[in-house]
Amino acid sequence: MSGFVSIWKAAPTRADVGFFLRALLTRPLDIPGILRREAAKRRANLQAPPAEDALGLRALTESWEAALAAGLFDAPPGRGEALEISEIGEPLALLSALQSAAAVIWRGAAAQSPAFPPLSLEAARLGLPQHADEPEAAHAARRAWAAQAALSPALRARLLALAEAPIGPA
Amino acid sequence: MKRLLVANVWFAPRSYGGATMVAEALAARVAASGEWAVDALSFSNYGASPRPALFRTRLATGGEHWTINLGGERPRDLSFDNPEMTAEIARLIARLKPDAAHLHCIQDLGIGLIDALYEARIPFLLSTHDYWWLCERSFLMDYRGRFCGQERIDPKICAPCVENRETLARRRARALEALSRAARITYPSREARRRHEINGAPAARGALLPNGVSPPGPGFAKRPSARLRFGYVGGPGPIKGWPVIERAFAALDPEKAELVLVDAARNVGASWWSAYRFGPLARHVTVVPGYTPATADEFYAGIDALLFFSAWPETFGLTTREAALRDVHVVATDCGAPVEPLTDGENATILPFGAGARELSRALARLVEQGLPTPGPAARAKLEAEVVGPEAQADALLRLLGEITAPGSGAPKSSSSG
Repeated sequence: MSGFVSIWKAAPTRADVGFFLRALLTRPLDIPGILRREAAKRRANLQAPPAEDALGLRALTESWEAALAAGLFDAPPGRGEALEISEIGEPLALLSALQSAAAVIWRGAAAQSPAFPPLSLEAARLGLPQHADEPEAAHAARRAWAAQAALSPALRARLLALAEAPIGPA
Repeated sequence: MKRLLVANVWFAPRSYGGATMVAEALAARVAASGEWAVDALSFSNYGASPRPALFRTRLATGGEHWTINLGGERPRDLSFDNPEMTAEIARLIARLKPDAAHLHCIQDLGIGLIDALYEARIPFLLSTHDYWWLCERSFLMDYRGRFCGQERIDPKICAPCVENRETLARRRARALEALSRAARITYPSREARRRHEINGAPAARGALLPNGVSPPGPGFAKRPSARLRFGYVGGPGPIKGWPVIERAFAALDPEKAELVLVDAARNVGASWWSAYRFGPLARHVTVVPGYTPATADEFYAGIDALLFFSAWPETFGLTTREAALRDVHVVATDCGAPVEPLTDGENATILPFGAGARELSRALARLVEQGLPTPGPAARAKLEAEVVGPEAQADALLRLLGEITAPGSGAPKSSSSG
Protein backbone atom coordinates (compact mmCIF):
# COMPACT_ATOMS: atom_id res chain seq x y z
CA MET A 1 0.00 0.00 0.00
CA SER A 2 2.78 2.40 0.94
CA GLY A 3 4.36 1.77 -2.48
CA PHE A 4 1.19 2.94 -4.22
CA VAL A 5 1.02 6.01 -2.00
CA SER A 6 4.64 6.79 -2.79
CA ILE A 7 4.04 6.50 -6.55
CA TRP A 8 0.88 8.60 -6.23
CA LYS A 9 2.85 11.35 -4.43
CA ALA A 10 5.73 11.39 -6.92
CA ALA A 11 5.06 9.70 -10.24
CA PRO A 12 8.09 8.24 -12.03
CA THR A 13 9.50 10.37 -14.82
CA ARG A 14 9.75 9.25 -18.44
CA ALA A 15 13.50 8.75 -17.90
CA ASP A 16 12.79 6.48 -14.89
CA VAL A 17 10.42 4.36 -16.98
CA GLY A 18 12.89 4.19 -19.86
CA PHE A 19 15.69 3.11 -17.50
CA PHE A 20 13.46 0.43 -15.98
CA LEU A 21 12.38 -0.96 -19.38
CA ARG A 22 15.97 -1.07 -20.63
CA ALA A 23 17.05 -2.88 -17.47
CA LEU A 24 14.14 -5.30 -17.88
CA LEU A 25 15.29 -6.16 -21.41
CA THR A 26 19.05 -6.22 -20.90
CA ARG A 27 19.60 -7.40 -17.29
CA PRO A 28 16.37 -8.82 -15.88
CA LEU A 29 18.19 -10.48 -12.97
CA ASP A 30 19.07 -7.02 -11.64
CA ILE A 31 15.44 -5.92 -11.45
CA PRO A 32 14.78 -6.88 -7.80
CA GLY A 33 17.88 -4.96 -6.74
CA ILE A 34 16.91 -1.95 -8.83
CA LEU A 35 13.43 -1.90 -7.32
CA ARG A 36 14.79 -2.11 -3.78
CA ARG A 37 17.28 0.68 -4.50
CA GLU A 38 14.65 2.95 -6.04
CA ALA A 39 12.21 2.27 -3.21
CA ALA A 40 14.90 3.24 -0.68
CA LYS A 41 15.62 6.44 -2.58
CA ARG A 42 11.93 7.30 -2.69
CA ARG A 43 11.50 6.68 1.02
CA ALA A 44 14.47 8.91 1.76
CA ASN A 45 13.18 11.65 -0.52
CA LEU A 46 9.62 11.52 0.79
CA GLN A 47 10.72 11.50 4.40
CA ALA A 48 13.20 14.35 4.04
CA PRO A 49 12.22 16.72 1.26
CA PRO A 50 14.87 19.32 0.41
CA ALA A 51 14.60 22.32 2.68
CA GLU A 52 12.49 25.06 1.15
CA ASP A 53 14.20 28.41 0.86
CA ALA A 54 10.97 30.28 1.52
CA LEU A 55 12.75 33.48 2.59
CA GLY A 56 15.25 33.41 -0.26
CA LEU A 57 17.98 33.73 2.36
CA ARG A 58 19.80 30.42 1.96
CA ALA A 59 22.57 32.44 0.31
CA LEU A 60 23.00 34.33 3.58
CA THR A 61 23.29 31.29 5.82
CA GLU A 62 25.64 29.51 3.40
CA SER A 63 27.83 32.58 3.17
CA TRP A 64 27.93 32.74 6.99
CA GLU A 65 28.95 29.07 7.16
CA ALA A 66 31.83 29.60 4.70
CA ALA A 67 33.04 32.78 6.35
CA LEU A 68 32.91 31.27 9.84
CA ALA A 69 34.79 28.15 8.74
CA ALA A 70 37.55 30.37 7.31
CA GLY A 71 37.71 32.61 10.36
CA LEU A 72 36.58 35.64 8.36
CA PHE A 73 33.12 36.01 9.85
CA ASP A 74 33.02 39.51 11.28
CA ALA A 75 32.87 42.74 9.33
CA PRO A 76 32.97 46.32 10.57
CA PRO A 77 29.89 48.57 10.24
CA GLY A 78 29.44 50.47 7.01
CA ARG A 79 30.07 54.16 6.57
CA GLY A 80 26.66 55.01 5.11
CA GLU A 81 23.54 56.37 6.78
CA ALA A 82 21.14 54.79 9.26
CA LEU A 83 18.69 52.49 7.50
CA GLU A 84 15.04 52.77 8.53
CA ILE A 85 13.03 49.67 7.56
CA SER A 86 9.25 49.58 7.84
CA GLU A 87 8.60 46.71 5.44
CA ILE A 88 10.68 43.73 4.26
CA GLY A 89 9.84 43.24 0.61
CA GLU A 90 12.80 41.49 -0.96
CA PRO A 91 15.10 40.20 1.79
CA LEU A 92 18.15 39.89 -0.48
CA ALA A 93 17.83 43.49 -1.68
CA LEU A 94 17.64 44.60 1.93
CA LEU A 95 20.64 42.46 2.73
CA SER A 96 22.67 44.43 0.18
CA ALA A 97 21.55 47.70 1.76
CA LEU A 98 22.64 46.51 5.23
CA GLN A 99 26.25 46.07 4.09
CA SER A 100 26.95 49.79 3.95
CA ALA A 101 24.52 51.10 6.57
CA ALA A 102 25.77 52.68 9.80
CA ALA A 103 22.72 51.69 11.89
CA VAL A 104 19.30 50.11 11.41
CA ILE A 105 15.87 50.98 12.80
CA TRP A 106 13.11 48.37 12.53
CA ARG A 107 9.76 50.15 12.35
CA GLY A 108 6.26 48.76 12.92
CA ALA A 109 5.62 45.32 11.51
CA ALA A 110 9.06 44.90 9.94
CA ALA A 111 10.29 43.11 13.07
CA GLN A 112 7.43 40.63 12.76
CA SER A 113 8.39 39.52 9.27
CA PRO A 114 9.75 35.95 9.01
CA ALA A 115 12.85 37.43 7.32
CA PHE A 116 13.53 39.76 10.25
CA PRO A 117 15.57 37.38 12.46
CA PRO A 118 18.28 36.46 9.91
CA LEU A 119 18.47 40.04 8.63
CA SER A 120 18.76 41.40 12.15
CA LEU A 121 21.45 38.83 12.91
CA GLU A 122 23.31 39.96 9.79
CA ALA A 123 23.05 43.53 11.05
CA ALA A 124 24.45 42.33 14.39
CA ARG A 125 27.30 40.52 12.59
CA LEU A 126 28.11 43.81 10.86
CA GLY A 127 28.16 45.52 14.24
CA LEU A 128 25.28 47.88 13.45
CA PRO A 129 23.46 49.61 16.31
CA GLN A 130 19.82 48.45 16.07
CA HIS A 131 16.53 49.84 17.30
CA ALA A 132 13.00 48.42 17.14
CA ASP A 133 9.54 49.44 18.30
CA GLU A 134 9.36 46.29 20.45
CA PRO A 135 12.93 45.34 21.39
CA GLU A 136 12.03 42.38 23.61
CA ALA A 137 9.90 40.73 20.93
CA ALA A 138 12.65 41.34 18.38
CA HIS A 139 15.22 39.66 20.67
CA ALA A 140 12.92 36.70 21.21
CA ALA A 141 12.35 36.28 17.47
CA ARG A 142 16.12 36.26 16.81
CA ARG A 143 16.79 33.75 19.58
CA ALA A 144 14.05 31.43 18.36
CA TRP A 145 15.24 31.57 14.78
CA ALA A 146 18.89 30.92 15.69
CA ALA A 147 17.83 27.99 17.85
CA GLN A 148 15.83 26.16 15.17
CA ALA A 149 17.28 27.14 11.75
CA ALA A 150 19.23 24.55 9.72
CA LEU A 151 22.78 25.55 10.71
CA SER A 152 26.05 23.93 11.70
CA PRO A 153 26.59 23.72 15.48
CA ALA A 154 29.43 26.26 15.26
CA LEU A 155 27.33 28.79 13.37
CA ARG A 156 24.34 28.23 15.65
CA ALA A 157 26.47 28.98 18.70
CA ARG A 158 27.80 32.14 17.08
CA LEU A 159 24.33 33.33 16.03
CA LEU A 160 22.85 32.59 19.46
CA ALA A 161 25.53 34.86 20.89
CA LEU A 162 24.77 37.51 18.25
CA ALA A 163 21.06 37.23 19.08
CA GLU A 164 21.88 38.81 22.43
CA ALA A 165 23.37 41.93 20.81
CA PRO A 166 21.49 44.99 22.06
CA ILE A 167 18.36 46.29 20.31
CA GLY A 168 17.28 49.62 21.69
CA PRO A 169 13.81 51.15 21.60
CA ALA A 170 13.05 52.98 18.37
CA MET B 1 47.48 55.37 2.02
CA LYS B 2 45.98 54.50 -1.37
CA ARG B 3 43.09 52.06 -1.66
CA LEU B 4 43.19 49.09 -4.04
CA LEU B 5 40.22 46.94 -5.04
CA VAL B 6 41.25 43.41 -6.06
CA ALA B 7 38.63 41.50 -8.05
CA ASN B 8 38.64 37.78 -8.71
CA VAL B 9 35.74 35.39 -9.20
CA TRP B 10 36.75 33.44 -6.07
CA PHE B 11 38.46 34.68 -2.93
CA ALA B 12 38.85 33.29 0.59
CA PRO B 13 36.77 31.80 2.15
CA ARG B 14 35.88 30.48 -1.32
CA SER B 15 39.46 29.78 -2.49
CA TYR B 16 39.43 27.71 -5.63
CA GLY B 17 41.98 27.29 -8.40
CA GLY B 18 45.46 28.53 -9.22
CA ALA B 19 44.45 32.06 -10.24
CA THR B 20 42.72 32.53 -6.88
CA MET B 21 45.88 31.46 -5.04
CA VAL B 22 47.85 34.04 -7.03
CA ALA B 23 45.24 36.77 -6.46
CA GLU B 24 45.11 36.11 -2.71
CA ALA B 25 48.88 35.89 -2.28
CA LEU B 26 49.47 39.10 -4.23
CA ALA B 27 46.73 40.95 -2.35
CA ALA B 28 48.29 39.92 0.95
CA ARG B 29 51.76 41.08 -0.13
CA VAL B 30 50.45 44.41 -1.49
CA ALA B 31 48.59 44.98 1.79
CA ALA B 32 51.76 44.11 3.72
CA SER B 33 53.72 46.73 1.76
CA GLY B 34 51.99 49.46 3.74
CA GLU B 35 51.47 51.49 0.56
CA TRP B 36 47.96 50.23 -0.14
CA ALA B 37 44.84 49.36 1.81
CA VAL B 38 43.43 46.35 -0.02
CA ASP B 39 39.77 45.39 -0.39
CA ALA B 40 38.52 42.41 -2.40
CA LEU B 41 35.51 41.80 -4.62
CA SER B 42 34.42 38.28 -5.48
CA PHE B 43 31.44 36.17 -6.49
CA SER B 44 29.43 33.45 -4.81
CA ASN B 45 26.71 31.16 -6.08
CA TYR B 46 24.56 30.20 -3.12
CA GLY B 47 20.82 29.59 -3.24
CA ALA B 48 18.54 30.07 -6.19
CA SER B 49 17.79 33.78 -6.32
CA PRO B 50 18.69 35.30 -9.68
CA ARG B 51 19.08 38.74 -8.06
CA PRO B 52 22.56 39.90 -7.05
CA ALA B 53 22.97 40.32 -3.30
CA LEU B 54 25.93 41.84 -1.53
CA PHE B 55 27.74 40.38 1.50
CA ARG B 56 30.63 41.81 3.42
CA THR B 57 33.18 39.94 5.46
CA ARG B 58 36.80 40.75 6.11
CA LEU B 59 40.10 39.64 4.64
CA ALA B 60 42.73 37.92 6.72
CA THR B 61 44.88 40.99 6.01
CA GLY B 62 42.29 43.27 7.56
CA GLY B 63 40.65 44.78 4.48
CA GLU B 64 37.04 44.38 3.47
CA HIS B 65 35.85 41.52 1.30
CA TRP B 66 32.75 42.22 -0.76
CA THR B 67 31.00 39.25 -2.29
CA ILE B 68 28.17 39.49 -4.78
CA ASN B 69 25.96 36.43 -4.71
CA LEU B 70 23.93 35.29 -7.67
CA GLY B 71 22.02 32.06 -7.19
CA GLY B 72 20.96 29.41 -9.67
CA GLU B 73 22.29 28.52 -13.11
CA ARG B 74 22.82 31.02 -15.89
CA PRO B 75 23.97 30.90 -19.51
CA ARG B 76 27.63 31.66 -20.24
CA ASP B 77 26.56 34.89 -21.93
CA LEU B 78 25.24 36.23 -18.59
CA SER B 79 28.35 35.02 -16.83
CA PHE B 80 30.27 37.20 -19.30
CA ASP B 81 28.07 40.30 -19.14
CA ASN B 82 25.18 40.74 -16.72
CA PRO B 83 23.62 44.24 -16.48
CA GLU B 84 22.15 43.56 -13.01
CA MET B 85 25.54 42.48 -11.73
CA THR B 86 27.14 45.53 -13.34
CA ALA B 87 24.65 47.85 -11.60
CA GLU B 88 25.46 46.30 -8.20
CA ILE B 89 29.20 46.62 -8.89
CA ALA B 90 28.83 50.25 -10.02
CA ARG B 91 27.05 51.10 -6.74
CA LEU B 92 29.82 49.41 -4.78
CA ILE B 93 32.59 51.22 -6.66
CA ALA B 94 30.85 54.55 -6.15
CA ARG B 95 30.84 53.82 -2.42
CA LEU B 96 34.39 52.50 -2.11
CA LYS B 97 36.08 55.01 -4.43
CA PRO B 98 39.31 53.00 -4.81
CA ASP B 99 42.40 54.68 -6.24
CA ALA B 100 43.03 51.69 -8.51
CA ALA B 101 41.79 48.18 -9.17
CA HIS B 102 43.57 44.92 -9.93
CA LEU B 103 41.41 42.51 -11.89
CA HIS B 104 42.15 38.80 -12.22
CA CYS B 105 39.54 36.29 -13.44
CA ILE B 106 36.24 38.14 -13.56
CA GLN B 107 33.97 35.37 -14.82
CA ASP B 108 30.48 35.78 -13.30
CA LEU B 109 31.30 39.23 -11.95
CA GLY B 110 31.19 40.06 -15.64
CA ILE B 111 32.85 42.41 -18.04
CA GLY B 112 30.56 45.20 -16.84
CA LEU B 113 33.01 45.54 -13.93
CA ILE B 114 35.34 47.20 -16.42
CA ASP B 115 32.60 49.56 -17.62
CA ALA B 116 31.95 50.55 -14.02
CA LEU B 117 35.64 51.25 -13.33
CA TYR B 118 36.00 53.15 -16.57
CA GLU B 119 32.96 55.33 -15.91
CA ALA B 120 34.24 56.04 -12.40
CA ARG B 121 37.69 56.97 -13.88
CA ILE B 122 39.51 54.40 -11.80
CA PRO B 123 42.67 53.06 -13.45
CA PHE B 124 42.95 49.31 -13.40
CA LEU B 125 45.49 46.62 -13.99
CA LEU B 126 44.20 43.49 -15.65
CA SER B 127 46.03 40.21 -15.01
CA THR B 128 45.19 37.36 -17.36
CA HIS B 129 45.37 33.76 -16.09
CA ASP B 130 43.63 31.87 -18.89
CA TYR B 131 42.11 32.66 -22.30
CA TRP B 132 38.65 33.79 -21.13
CA TRP B 133 39.11 37.09 -22.95
CA LEU B 134 39.40 35.22 -26.24
CA CYS B 135 37.46 32.01 -25.64
CA GLU B 136 34.07 31.43 -24.05
CA ARG B 137 35.39 28.07 -22.79
CA SER B 138 38.47 29.80 -21.28
CA PHE B 139 41.08 27.17 -22.27
CA LEU B 140 40.93 27.00 -26.09
CA MET B 141 39.49 23.52 -25.72
CA ASP B 142 36.75 22.38 -28.08
CA TYR B 143 33.49 20.73 -27.10
CA ARG B 144 35.27 17.33 -27.07
CA GLY B 145 37.80 18.60 -24.56
CA ARG B 146 40.68 18.90 -27.04
CA PHE B 147 42.82 21.92 -27.94
CA CYS B 148 41.04 23.71 -30.78
CA GLY B 149 44.35 24.57 -32.44
CA GLN B 150 43.53 28.20 -33.13
CA GLU B 151 46.13 30.95 -33.25
CA ARG B 152 43.96 33.76 -34.59
CA ILE B 153 40.53 33.13 -33.17
CA ASP B 154 37.94 32.57 -35.90
CA PRO B 155 34.30 32.79 -34.77
CA LYS B 156 33.35 30.26 -37.43
CA ILE B 157 35.57 27.68 -35.73
CA CYS B 158 34.31 28.66 -32.26
CA ALA B 159 30.66 28.42 -33.32
CA PRO B 160 30.11 24.68 -32.70
CA CYS B 161 31.72 24.88 -29.24
CA VAL B 162 29.80 27.79 -27.68
CA GLU B 163 26.38 27.84 -26.09
CA ASN B 164 24.97 30.45 -28.45
CA ARG B 165 26.84 31.36 -31.62
CA GLU B 166 24.78 34.55 -31.96
CA THR B 167 26.65 35.99 -28.97
CA LEU B 168 30.15 35.46 -30.42
CA ALA B 169 30.58 38.73 -32.33
CA ARG B 170 29.33 40.86 -29.46
CA ARG B 171 31.44 38.95 -26.93
CA ARG B 172 34.58 39.54 -28.95
CA ALA B 173 33.83 43.26 -29.44
CA ARG B 174 33.10 43.72 -25.72
CA ALA B 175 36.24 41.83 -24.70
CA LEU B 176 38.51 43.88 -26.97
CA GLU B 177 36.91 47.13 -25.82
CA ALA B 178 37.50 46.10 -22.19
CA LEU B 179 41.12 45.18 -22.83
CA SER B 180 41.67 48.55 -24.50
CA ARG B 181 40.48 50.28 -21.32
CA ALA B 182 43.02 48.64 -19.02
CA ALA B 183 45.90 50.84 -17.91
CA ARG B 184 48.14 47.76 -18.15
CA ILE B 185 47.50 44.13 -19.04
CA THR B 186 49.75 41.56 -17.44
CA TYR B 187 50.47 38.05 -18.67
CA PRO B 188 52.04 35.19 -16.71
CA SER B 189 54.13 34.11 -19.73
CA ARG B 190 55.30 35.17 -23.19
CA GLU B 191 53.04 32.51 -24.72
CA ALA B 192 49.95 33.97 -23.04
CA ARG B 193 50.94 37.46 -24.14
CA ARG B 194 51.56 36.38 -27.73
CA ARG B 195 48.21 34.63 -28.06
CA HIS B 196 46.31 37.60 -26.61
CA GLU B 197 48.11 40.22 -28.66
CA ILE B 198 47.75 38.47 -32.03
CA ASN B 199 44.04 38.45 -31.24
CA GLY B 200 43.73 42.16 -30.62
CA ALA B 201 44.88 42.89 -27.06
CA PRO B 202 46.75 46.23 -27.14
CA ALA B 203 50.47 45.40 -27.28
CA ALA B 204 51.58 48.79 -25.96
CA ARG B 205 49.91 48.14 -22.60
CA GLY B 206 51.07 44.53 -22.21
CA ALA B 207 53.56 43.50 -19.54
CA LEU B 208 54.94 40.19 -18.34
CA LEU B 209 54.14 39.39 -14.71
CA PRO B 210 55.15 35.77 -14.14
CA ASN B 211 53.65 34.12 -11.10
CA GLY B 212 55.96 33.79 -8.14
CA VAL B 213 57.41 30.31 -7.55
CA SER B 214 58.76 29.42 -4.13
CA PRO B 215 62.32 28.08 -4.24
CA PRO B 216 63.25 24.94 -2.29
CA GLY B 217 63.75 25.35 1.43
CA PRO B 218 67.27 25.32 2.91
CA GLY B 219 67.11 21.66 3.97
CA PHE B 220 65.80 20.33 0.67
CA ALA B 221 67.38 17.01 -0.37
CA LYS B 222 66.09 14.19 -2.57
CA ARG B 223 65.28 10.89 -0.91
CA PRO B 224 67.18 8.01 -2.55
CA SER B 225 65.34 5.29 -4.46
CA ALA B 226 66.28 2.15 -6.40
CA ARG B 227 63.71 3.00 -9.08
CA LEU B 228 63.48 6.15 -11.22
CA ARG B 229 60.43 7.99 -9.87
CA PHE B 230 58.13 9.93 -12.20
CA GLY B 231 55.62 12.27 -10.56
CA TYR B 232 52.23 13.16 -12.01
CA VAL B 233 50.05 15.96 -10.65
CA GLY B 234 46.58 15.66 -12.14
CA GLY B 235 43.48 13.55 -12.33
CA PRO B 236 42.57 10.53 -14.43
CA GLY B 237 41.13 12.67 -17.24
CA PRO B 238 42.65 13.74 -20.57
CA ILE B 239 43.27 17.43 -19.72
CA LYS B 240 46.63 16.66 -18.03
CA GLY B 241 47.38 13.74 -20.34
CA TRP B 242 46.66 10.77 -18.06
CA PRO B 243 45.50 8.36 -20.85
CA VAL B 244 48.83 8.88 -22.68
CA ILE B 245 50.87 8.44 -19.50
CA GLU B 246 48.95 5.30 -18.54
CA ARG B 247 49.61 3.66 -21.91
CA ALA B 248 53.24 4.75 -22.01
CA PHE B 249 54.02 3.30 -18.59
CA ALA B 250 52.63 -0.11 -19.54
CA ALA B 251 55.78 -0.71 -21.60
CA LEU B 252 58.23 0.07 -18.78
CA ASP B 253 59.84 -2.33 -16.33
CA PRO B 254 58.15 -1.87 -12.92
CA GLU B 255 61.43 -2.83 -11.23
CA LYS B 256 63.05 0.25 -12.74
CA ALA B 257 60.30 2.89 -13.04
CA GLU B 258 57.84 4.12 -10.41
CA LEU B 259 54.85 6.36 -11.05
CA VAL B 260 54.08 8.69 -8.12
CA LEU B 261 50.55 10.06 -8.36
CA VAL B 262 49.55 13.12 -6.38
CA ASP B 263 45.98 12.91 -5.15
CA ALA B 264 45.43 16.66 -5.15
CA ALA B 265 41.66 16.18 -4.94
CA ARG B 266 42.17 15.19 -1.30
CA ASN B 267 42.77 18.90 -0.64
CA VAL B 268 39.03 19.42 -1.27
CA GLY B 269 37.84 16.27 0.49
CA ALA B 270 37.65 13.96 -2.56
CA SER B 271 39.98 11.45 -4.21
CA TRP B 272 41.05 10.95 -7.80
CA TRP B 273 42.77 7.64 -7.31
CA SER B 274 41.26 5.70 -4.39
CA ALA B 275 38.77 3.86 -6.62
CA TYR B 276 40.82 3.87 -9.83
CA ARG B 277 41.55 0.45 -11.37
CA PHE B 278 45.22 0.50 -12.34
CA GLY B 279 45.37 -3.11 -13.56
CA PRO B 280 48.96 -4.18 -14.38
CA LEU B 281 50.09 -0.57 -13.88
CA ALA B 282 49.54 -1.03 -10.13
CA ARG B 283 53.08 -2.44 -9.81
CA HIS B 284 54.40 0.98 -10.84
CA VAL B 285 52.07 3.17 -8.85
CA THR B 286 52.44 4.96 -5.53
CA VAL B 287 49.71 7.44 -4.55
CA VAL B 288 50.71 10.35 -2.30
CA PRO B 289 48.47 13.06 -0.78
CA GLY B 290 48.06 16.46 -2.39
CA TYR B 291 50.63 19.00 -1.33
CA THR B 292 50.42 22.65 -0.35
CA PRO B 293 53.06 25.36 -0.86
CA ALA B 294 54.28 24.51 2.63
CA THR B 295 54.73 20.80 1.84
CA ALA B 296 55.88 21.04 -1.79
CA ASP B 297 59.50 20.18 -0.88
CA GLU B 298 58.41 16.89 0.65
CA PHE B 299 56.71 15.86 -2.59
CA TYR B 300 59.55 16.92 -4.89
CA ALA B 301 62.12 15.20 -2.64
CA GLY B 302 60.36 11.93 -3.49
CA ILE B 303 60.49 12.13 -7.31
CA ASP B 304 63.23 12.29 -9.92
CA ALA B 305 61.16 13.53 -12.88
CA LEU B 306 57.83 15.28 -13.35
CA LEU B 307 55.39 14.30 -16.14
CA PHE B 308 53.52 17.27 -17.62
CA PHE B 309 51.38 16.26 -20.58
CA SER B 310 48.78 19.02 -20.66
CA ALA B 311 46.30 18.98 -23.53
CA TRP B 312 45.92 22.77 -23.78
CA PRO B 313 48.39 25.63 -24.28
CA GLU B 314 48.68 26.56 -20.61
CA THR B 315 49.34 30.17 -19.68
CA PHE B 316 51.89 29.39 -16.96
CA GLY B 317 52.85 26.02 -15.45
CA LEU B 318 53.61 26.26 -11.75
CA THR B 319 54.60 22.62 -11.25
CA THR B 320 57.18 22.53 -14.06
CA ARG B 321 58.90 25.56 -12.53
CA GLU B 322 58.70 24.19 -8.98
CA ALA B 323 60.22 20.93 -10.22
CA ALA B 324 63.03 22.49 -12.24
CA LEU B 325 64.03 24.73 -9.31
CA ARG B 326 64.48 21.52 -7.26
CA ASP B 327 66.54 19.74 -9.93
CA VAL B 328 63.62 17.48 -10.80
CA HIS B 329 63.75 16.66 -14.53
CA VAL B 330 60.58 17.64 -16.45
CA VAL B 331 59.10 15.43 -19.17
CA ALA B 332 56.57 17.59 -21.01
CA THR B 333 54.95 18.33 -24.30
CA ASP B 334 55.78 21.61 -25.99
CA CYS B 335 52.61 23.15 -24.55
CA GLY B 336 53.82 26.72 -24.35
CA ALA B 337 54.36 28.49 -21.06
CA PRO B 338 55.11 25.46 -18.86
CA VAL B 339 58.31 24.75 -20.80
CA GLU B 340 59.34 28.37 -21.49
CA PRO B 341 62.11 28.47 -18.86
CA LEU B 342 63.30 24.90 -19.52
CA THR B 343 66.01 23.53 -21.82
CA ASP B 344 65.37 20.34 -23.78
CA GLY B 345 67.96 17.65 -23.11
CA GLU B 346 69.19 19.31 -19.93
CA ASN B 347 66.56 20.00 -17.28
CA ALA B 348 63.69 18.78 -19.47
CA THR B 349 62.68 16.31 -22.12
CA ILE B 350 60.32 18.24 -24.37
CA LEU B 351 58.18 16.23 -26.79
CA PRO B 352 56.04 17.71 -29.58
CA PHE B 353 52.64 19.11 -28.54
CA GLY B 354 50.13 16.30 -29.00
CA ALA B 355 52.75 13.52 -28.69
CA GLY B 356 51.25 10.10 -28.06
CA ALA B 357 51.94 7.15 -25.80
CA ARG B 358 54.52 5.61 -28.13
CA GLU B 359 56.69 8.76 -28.17
CA LEU B 360 56.40 9.20 -24.43
CA SER B 361 57.18 5.54 -23.79
CA ARG B 362 60.36 5.78 -25.90
CA ALA B 363 61.44 8.95 -24.05
CA LEU B 364 60.78 7.41 -20.63
CA ALA B 365 62.59 4.17 -21.54
CA ARG B 366 65.61 6.20 -22.61
CA LEU B 367 65.65 8.09 -19.31
CA VAL B 368 65.28 4.84 -17.35
CA GLU B 369 68.11 3.13 -19.22
CA GLN B 370 70.53 6.05 -19.57
CA GLY B 371 69.68 8.05 -16.46
CA LEU B 372 68.63 11.68 -16.19
CA PRO B 373 70.84 14.34 -17.79
CA THR B 374 72.55 16.90 -15.59
CA PRO B 375 71.61 20.48 -16.50
CA GLY B 376 74.52 22.64 -17.61
CA PRO B 377 75.24 26.20 -16.48
CA ALA B 378 73.35 27.75 -19.43
CA ALA B 379 70.16 25.84 -18.60
CA ARG B 380 70.46 26.79 -14.95
CA ALA B 381 71.04 30.44 -15.82
CA LYS B 382 68.01 30.49 -18.12
CA LEU B 383 65.84 28.99 -15.38
CA GLU B 384 67.06 31.45 -12.76
CA ALA B 385 66.55 34.38 -15.12
CA GLU B 386 62.99 33.41 -16.02
CA VAL B 387 61.55 32.13 -12.76
CA VAL B 388 60.80 34.72 -10.12
CA GLY B 389 59.89 34.29 -6.48
CA PRO B 390 56.67 35.52 -4.83
CA GLU B 391 58.40 38.63 -3.43
CA ALA B 392 59.72 39.64 -6.85
CA GLN B 393 56.26 39.24 -8.37
CA ALA B 394 54.73 41.42 -5.66
CA ASP B 395 57.46 44.05 -6.16
CA ALA B 396 56.76 44.10 -9.91
CA LEU B 397 53.05 44.48 -9.22
CA LEU B 398 53.65 47.35 -6.80
CA ARG B 399 55.72 49.11 -9.47
CA LEU B 400 52.91 48.70 -12.01
CA LEU B 401 50.33 49.97 -9.53
CA GLY B 402 52.55 52.95 -8.82
CA GLU B 403 52.85 53.67 -12.53
CA ILE B 404 49.12 53.56 -13.27
CA THR B 405 48.25 55.82 -10.34
CA ALA B 406 51.05 58.32 -10.86
CA PRO B 407 49.88 61.79 -11.92
CA GLY B 408 49.92 62.05 -15.71
CA SER B 409 50.26 58.28 -16.06
CA GLY B 410 48.18 58.31 -19.22
CA ALA B 411 45.94 55.55 -17.92
CA PRO B 412 42.77 55.43 -20.02
CA LYS B 413 40.05 57.70 -18.71
CA SER B 414 36.35 57.65 -19.41
CA SER B 415 35.32 59.73 -22.41
CA SER B 416 32.74 61.37 -20.15
CA SER B 417 35.44 62.48 -17.73
CA GLY B 418 36.01 65.77 -19.54
